[in-house]
Amino acid sequence: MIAFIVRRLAISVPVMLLIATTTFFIMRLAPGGPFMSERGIPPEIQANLQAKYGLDQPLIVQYGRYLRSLMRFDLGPSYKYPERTVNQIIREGFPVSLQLGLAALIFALLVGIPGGVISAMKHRGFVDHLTMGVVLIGISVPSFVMGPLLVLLFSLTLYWFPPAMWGSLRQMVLPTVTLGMIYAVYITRLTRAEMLEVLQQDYIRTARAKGVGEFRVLCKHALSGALLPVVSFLGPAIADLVTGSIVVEKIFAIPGLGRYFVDSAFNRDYTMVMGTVLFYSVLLILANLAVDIVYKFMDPRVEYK
Amino acid sequence: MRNRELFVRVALALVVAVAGLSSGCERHSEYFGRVEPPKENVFRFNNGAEPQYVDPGLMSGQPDGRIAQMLFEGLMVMDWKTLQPMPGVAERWEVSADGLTYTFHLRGNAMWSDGTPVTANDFVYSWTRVLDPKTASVYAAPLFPIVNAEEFNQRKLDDPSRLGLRAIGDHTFEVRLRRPVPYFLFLASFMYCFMPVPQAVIEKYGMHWTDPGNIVGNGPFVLVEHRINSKFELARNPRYWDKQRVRLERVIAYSIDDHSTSANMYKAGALDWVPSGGFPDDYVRYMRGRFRDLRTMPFLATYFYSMNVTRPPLNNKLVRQALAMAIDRRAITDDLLRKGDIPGAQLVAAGFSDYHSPPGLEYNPQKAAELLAKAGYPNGQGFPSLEMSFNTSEGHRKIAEALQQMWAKNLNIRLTLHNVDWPTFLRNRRTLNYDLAREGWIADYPDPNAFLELFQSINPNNDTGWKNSAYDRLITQASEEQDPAMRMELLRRGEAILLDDAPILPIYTYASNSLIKPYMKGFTPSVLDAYPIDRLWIDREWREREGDEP
Repeated sequence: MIAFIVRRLAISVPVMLLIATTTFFIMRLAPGGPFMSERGIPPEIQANLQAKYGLDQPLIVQYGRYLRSLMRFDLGPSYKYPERTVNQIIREGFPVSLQLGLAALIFALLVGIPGGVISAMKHRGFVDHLTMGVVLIGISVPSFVMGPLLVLLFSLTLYWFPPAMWGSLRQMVLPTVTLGMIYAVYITRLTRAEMLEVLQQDYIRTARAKGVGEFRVLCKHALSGALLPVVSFLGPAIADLVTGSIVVEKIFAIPGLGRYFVDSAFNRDYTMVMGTVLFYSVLLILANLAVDIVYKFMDPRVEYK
Repeated sequence: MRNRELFVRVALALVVAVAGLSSGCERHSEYFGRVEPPKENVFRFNNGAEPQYVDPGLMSGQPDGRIAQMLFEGLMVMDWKTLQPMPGVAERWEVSADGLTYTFHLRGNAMWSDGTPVTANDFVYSWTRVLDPKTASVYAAPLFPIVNAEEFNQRKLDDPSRLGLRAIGDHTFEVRLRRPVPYFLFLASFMYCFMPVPQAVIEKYGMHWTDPGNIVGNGPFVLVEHRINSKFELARNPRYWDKQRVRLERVIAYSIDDHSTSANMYKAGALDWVPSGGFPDDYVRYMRGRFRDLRTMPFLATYFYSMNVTRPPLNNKLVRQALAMAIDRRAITDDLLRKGDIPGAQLVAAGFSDYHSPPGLEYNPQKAAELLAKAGYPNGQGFPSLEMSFNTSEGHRKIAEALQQMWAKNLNIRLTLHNVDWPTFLRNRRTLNYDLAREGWIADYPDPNAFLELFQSINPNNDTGWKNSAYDRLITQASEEQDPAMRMELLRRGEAILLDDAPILPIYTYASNSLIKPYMKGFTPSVLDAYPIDRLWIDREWREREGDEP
């Protein structure tokens, strides 16, 4: 097992190098540069700027320098916000995206699993139709529509929650629901479908025949079987959630890391583009590794060589 | 079946309830959303995009400037209403008869927020720092009139002691200029690069000197917290020399770049001020004449199109004039945009009391068609296909489409639209890789020269390829003229040449549209779209006083 982990980590080094190299050179193909501005800058001042950030050097030299500082985990100063380092920006932004992602995940589970169970219990009843209606809406309405609708109702009409920003519990409600909704309804559907199937099984009938209470039948006997597909859905969902949502972060003015994915490319903020790409690459490599390890524990038949 | 019916009914009832609630709230209100003042003595506004810099020596953007204006104070501060420089750190100043030497007398009680006095040496250090090529400040150029400044910035001179800056004791600061600059005091009071910065702190912390724990300023407020892409929190500076005048205890400047979110925050009562450009244009159209918190002011900024005069057929003056005269500017401002912008065929923005632009090439479709025919394209025949470039934005697209239609209708020519992302757009403009390109200009200082210097041959902002020696001469002559009336006349003659030769197509003077809650007082109207945040205050009895001037 340890040998497997070590080998996987060793392979990821050349993978990271490949990602770094490709990103570095592709980024430089885009026209313009980080120090373009509406105000014309005299060529001498432009030269001072380029010299200050080493952009006057040949590209290959810049690449070498970047790799050297990368060895020290130094991602350099952001070109768009030169008073901050990329490390600092990631350190500030990622925890926020992580918080939002985890909150959305918890919301999705708290709503999705009971929703699915109740729906399955009241199969074809009013509650089931209502739940499935909500699910259909949740799946069809994208977050850039859902977010503003929630704001219109709960912030601008009822004044229950603030329309934007991040920090207090009340500020977290609307973005969490907006981001978590699609996952919640998906989990509802998965749970419901599995529950319906499991409830037909013989062992459930046996349990009922033995006089086990309905609550116990559902929660202990049926649910544990029905949740397996939900667990396997959670893997990619978590990765998706914690990498930050550009749309939700924009709508609610949340200072997470998601927005930098897009903004840094538009700003030609070279170091920030590199920083976000590399950071998420590491995150995904580690997440995949973690999933493989968990599989090993869940299913002893899996063997790592 | 019954279940489904019930479900549909419930859903319908919900929709109706939501619609009813949201419309019911707005009815009969004179103001947009909630108008409850914040419980504490705190002023909250949306500063727009996250500022690039907190360091006034490096910044160039408007959001950056609003923060700097609270944290630092220059020799003079601008009176936004009269546009006259008022005493800041300098309590008085003298200008020599030849207009070359400025002597500033600094007040004895000006302090940094760490308790050390602000001295003349701080200004020598700060201005030298902006000019130092190693600092690489984008806004070094406004200091170039100072003796040896340009040479020092361009590495032709190494010794900063040869700059025309001198501290005479702690409280006298002398500045020598290479040539007279009639608006030098405006520059020094309006532009951030003239603000003092704390030498000891910068040397101690390097690029991190502006972090909340490290920063030291001399302005009315101090920085308490800064979360990137979220907010700046500031508190009243107890060491500020004029602290009695500052009535707000705290200021929160949010960095919300999404316009709809910003408008939502304002409507929910979480913001007291949204500066111009901080909420969607559609809101402006909807709110004009409906809500009293929308304030429309002319703004010293012009919207125009540049033409690349190095490319045929735009190298032909007649073609350029024809294009200019085929634009119905009033239709654009009054029917299309409806934001209070002022149509105009001039480069210099409307709003100067002592300067009146010459008449430009006003709308005259018949004359335009004649000019085009004279240029060799009767009824647009044989006119090559040209491209209009703009950076991707709905607003710019609307205007480009309107121009496209006007030229098609009045001149029978077809231009194509081309939108690109911002860096690409700027590079194309800079390298003259375009036919016609959108442009906008905000005055750096309240003087017509702020617009007219743009089109001097050597100006890096002249992206048209247009060079005119008579124009260059007039603008230079004006900058050396000491008599104000004569100077305006020279500038006027310069603008007349520019407008007649038409390397640009001016369309309108911008209006600034901001949202201000009725309980916020002290917002004196200003054509610079800038307000003295340190003089604002919250009027909790505003309802009783309603109708009075702010």
